Amino acid sequence: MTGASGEIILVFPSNTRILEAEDLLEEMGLPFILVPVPKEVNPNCGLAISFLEDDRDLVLAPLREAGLRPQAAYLRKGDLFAGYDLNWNEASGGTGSSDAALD
Amino acid sequence: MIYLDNGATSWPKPESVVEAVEKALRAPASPGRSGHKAAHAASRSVHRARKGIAKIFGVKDPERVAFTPNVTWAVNAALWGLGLKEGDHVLSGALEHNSTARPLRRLERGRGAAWERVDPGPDGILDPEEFRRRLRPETRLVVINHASNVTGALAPAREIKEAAGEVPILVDTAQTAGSVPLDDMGQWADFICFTGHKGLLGPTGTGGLCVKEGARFSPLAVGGSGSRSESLEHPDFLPDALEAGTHNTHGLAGLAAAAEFLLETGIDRIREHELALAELFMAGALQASGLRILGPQPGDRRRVATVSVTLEGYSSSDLARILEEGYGIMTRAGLHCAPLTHQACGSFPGGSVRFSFGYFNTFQEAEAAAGALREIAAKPRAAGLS
Ligand SMILES: Cc1ncc(COP(=O)(O)O)c(C=O)c1O
Repeated sequence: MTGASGEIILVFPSNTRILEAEDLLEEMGLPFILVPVPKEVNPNCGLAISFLEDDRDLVLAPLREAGLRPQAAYLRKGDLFAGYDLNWNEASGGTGSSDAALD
Repeated sequence: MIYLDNGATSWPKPESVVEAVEKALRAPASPGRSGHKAAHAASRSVHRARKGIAKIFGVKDPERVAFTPNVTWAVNAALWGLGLKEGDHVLSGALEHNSTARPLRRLERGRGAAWERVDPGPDGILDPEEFRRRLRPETRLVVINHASNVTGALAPAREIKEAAGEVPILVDTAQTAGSVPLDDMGQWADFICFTGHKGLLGPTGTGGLCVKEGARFSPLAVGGSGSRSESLEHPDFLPDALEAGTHNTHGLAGLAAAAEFLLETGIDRIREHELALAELFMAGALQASGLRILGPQPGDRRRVATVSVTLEGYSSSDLARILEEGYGIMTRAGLHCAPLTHQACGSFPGGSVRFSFGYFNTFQEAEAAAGALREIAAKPRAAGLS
């Protein structure tokens, strides 16, 4: 997965969100895999969604549509990680509206 | 054996539920905690349950479904989490189960919140107008047992919410979930509390709370959640905020299968079958002399298939014992964890014998139960039992 084009890794704010994202991408038959959250850059437990940079628009569009906003995104090339700007459109609606409901 | 205690816990469970629990027990399972495939499979299974429950209650976003060990825990999470205090007012029906009544009592005694109960009308049903009349500016919450676990009376919960306006409503769906179509409830109920092991046909140890957007409260328990592990602060997002500690993965695998069973079967179909059983039973039972049915009478659809009776000359415990020893019929005698309901129905402290039907009961079984009551009533009562 870490070819010349690079791998994008999306970390989600909760396990439920990643499961929602996984279900959605799987239903659409999009090319992605689940990987452990890379501890090099992010302390979260659990899994992240990974796909080739080339497939970026294909994978991000439905997530955007559903309002499943990643908490963080990284571009991995070999052992190198860099933060990745998703240009997330704030106005997107859909589910995933579970804001901080609790005090 | 004829099992008519589905109000306590449903039996049998669909075969797919038994299989799902067994499969889960045979797999390594720590949902959301590790990155390997087995942990992820467990997470997916929990998520399937979340999606199934969301669908049953018409909750758009499965994230707003948080799992707890049962409805009692869910009620406590909501009631304590709201931080009710002196000066606050809570309205509830008078048909509450102790799972809401005791926490409310404790809030009243310990925190000084005022708790007011609304009695049902002569037909055994709560009147939304009565709730409207009792609302006060300081009313912070309305609590409703959606169907009485004693009389089976359905509460007009949606109309009560309409009467309550902006005041949030907490609905205890222990006796309705899986037996009554509730797929609009997510649109109007602020806190939907459910238990997995009754009409939802899942395993014990499963239940939860659906929280509507905009509700603000703090979690009862905090701890490991598998998320934000770097922080000593418990996550403030749902469902993690309300799910401290490892899930009941085995039970939830069963609940996922149960929800799928219910959705495939059709809850409207289940409701019609259960109501038909209750009607058949009531019609036959009423032919027994000295028999009284508490709450909604035959022909009234404002009920679930839970029917409580008293029989002249018999204590509820004796009657249940005769039914079991002489006829192999399992019922539940006494107060059913609902002293308030029996007070409202004039059956306190003696209680009643409760026949609660489920989807897997047959018309023959309903007939047999009614027949047993007729036979018992017709026999001259000797001193003591048998
Ligand atoms: C109306 C009602 N509420 C709450 C409960 C409590 O359910 P659980 O013991 O699963 O928390 C029950 C059943 O026992 C019930 O019938």
